[in-house]
Amino acid sequence: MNTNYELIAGLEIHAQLSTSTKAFCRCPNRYGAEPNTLVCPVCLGAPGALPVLSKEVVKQATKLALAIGAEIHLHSRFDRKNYFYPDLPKGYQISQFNHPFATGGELHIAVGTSVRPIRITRAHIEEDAGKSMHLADGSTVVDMNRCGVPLIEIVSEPDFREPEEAGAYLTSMRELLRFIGVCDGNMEEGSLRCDANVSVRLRGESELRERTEMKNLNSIRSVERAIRAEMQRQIQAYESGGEISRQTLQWDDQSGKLTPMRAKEGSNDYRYFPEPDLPWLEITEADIDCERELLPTLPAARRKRYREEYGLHEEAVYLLASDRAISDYFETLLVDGRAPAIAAAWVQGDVQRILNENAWDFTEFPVSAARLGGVIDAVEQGRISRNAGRDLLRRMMTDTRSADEMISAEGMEQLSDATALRGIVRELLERFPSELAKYREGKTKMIGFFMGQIMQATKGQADPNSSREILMNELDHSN
Amino acid sequence: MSVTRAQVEHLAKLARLRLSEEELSGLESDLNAILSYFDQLQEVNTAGIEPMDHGGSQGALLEDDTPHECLPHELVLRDAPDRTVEFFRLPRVLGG
Ligand SMILES: [Zn+2]
Repeated sequence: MNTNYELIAGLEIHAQLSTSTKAFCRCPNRYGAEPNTLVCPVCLGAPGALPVLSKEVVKQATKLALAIGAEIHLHSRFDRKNYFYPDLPKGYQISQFNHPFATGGELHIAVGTSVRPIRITRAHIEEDAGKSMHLADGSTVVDMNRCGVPLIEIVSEPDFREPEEAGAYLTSMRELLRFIGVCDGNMEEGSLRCDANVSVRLRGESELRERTEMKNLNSIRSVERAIRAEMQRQIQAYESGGEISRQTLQWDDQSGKLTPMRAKEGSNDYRYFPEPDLPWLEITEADIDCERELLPTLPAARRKRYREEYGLHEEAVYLLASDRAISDYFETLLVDGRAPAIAAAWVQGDVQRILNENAWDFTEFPVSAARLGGVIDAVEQGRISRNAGRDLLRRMMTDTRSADEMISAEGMEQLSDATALRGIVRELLERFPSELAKYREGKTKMIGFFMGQIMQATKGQADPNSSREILMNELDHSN
Repeated sequence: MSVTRAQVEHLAKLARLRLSEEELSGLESDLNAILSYFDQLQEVNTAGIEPMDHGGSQGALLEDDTPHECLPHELVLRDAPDRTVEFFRLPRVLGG
């Protein structure tokens, strides 16, 4: 790519809020229902139907605004954004234009080893449109179930200089939305969608050039790919003496191609005007404080603590703060004074492996932090081996007992008593004289043979470290 | 403040209205009459007066996030000009 040019890109993220009902009517906000079953006169745009905002929308928008450090406006207003499209039965979308819910704020992104803030322009409340789809017979049909589902639109400043930065921002925003519980972040189901604004300019230029908009980039990877492709297209156009005109492009993930959708309507063409059916949205400082108190410690602050206070390595730091449920689980393990590095190794290693094998989400993991804590304690106190602990955890998938109950009921206590182990070792050396002779001739791999025999003789309950120590002692000192 | 013929045509396009020359002329003069009334309103001194952009005197009332019954599916689609069993069906050609 021609490196004389730099990228200027910004993202608009649309996140469906995790409410029980739609934004302005009390139809359920639910994905996957039979088409056109979650609708009423309000969301179908029937004449005379009046919108009423749900409290929960305001609460979740407040949480998000607090999490990105935005300024929340105590008075905000809804506007009608007018355009004709078959998935928009009213002929307008209720959105916020001149007086958005929140402005400003930032989100830190990590690309490589550098962390930098991306500025956020605004976050406003609006409603989703229905969904049109094409049938095999060539007709186009509409499902209005999604129509009126609450969205928060988060607009970034054009701060991205590399496509990967846009990807990192979307990753962090998705993680944050999920962490504070306001959006499930499911990009495949469209709960989280992303548009990108892209322009390029020669390095050193201060003016912005014409930008294009790319709609509905439905994965983090496609955001990066689409921005890169559009960046290349614009550079090529300028280099061959052409111009870029303002337009909206559709990204096709399969072919990696961009196709123009429609001439971009200027915001004047949307003929925004105040929504006469909705009074100003008034909230109080007390409302905001109430949400602030409910806000969990955010991923960035948790990572700082994991890194600086617990001394965890980066991989663990990243994973353990990427999801609220995992992070809270990990922190519960620490409450009883367990060492962070040991607890982290279990969650990051054994627990993750089980999740991966079963294709489970963390919320489906059946072992509570208290029960895993019992396993960790038994291993750390030397009552069972690390391997036995791992095995115990696996059996807990179908067994609801505590670690202690399972260990004592099944006589799993590890054999680490030196006298008993020495007796077993001596007996084995007598039983296998030729193997012993081979060791004496210098075949050190016979150590493995004897360790195997010890484990067999004790049904795996011998503590490996003490067994090895006693075995070596006997091999080298007996005659 | 006034509108040009081109602006009226642009508005008609945005509103998906197909208007005759006569209708366009009529709308142009109607719109200009409305705008000149606004010019007249602009002459009023409103310094220090809070703008009133909504009839309601209090903030929005909010509802609890509890789902209500939806419309029965058959009722939803009953008056649709065209439909399949489950969906609203659109006319073939969509104006751009
Ligand atoms: Zn509804």
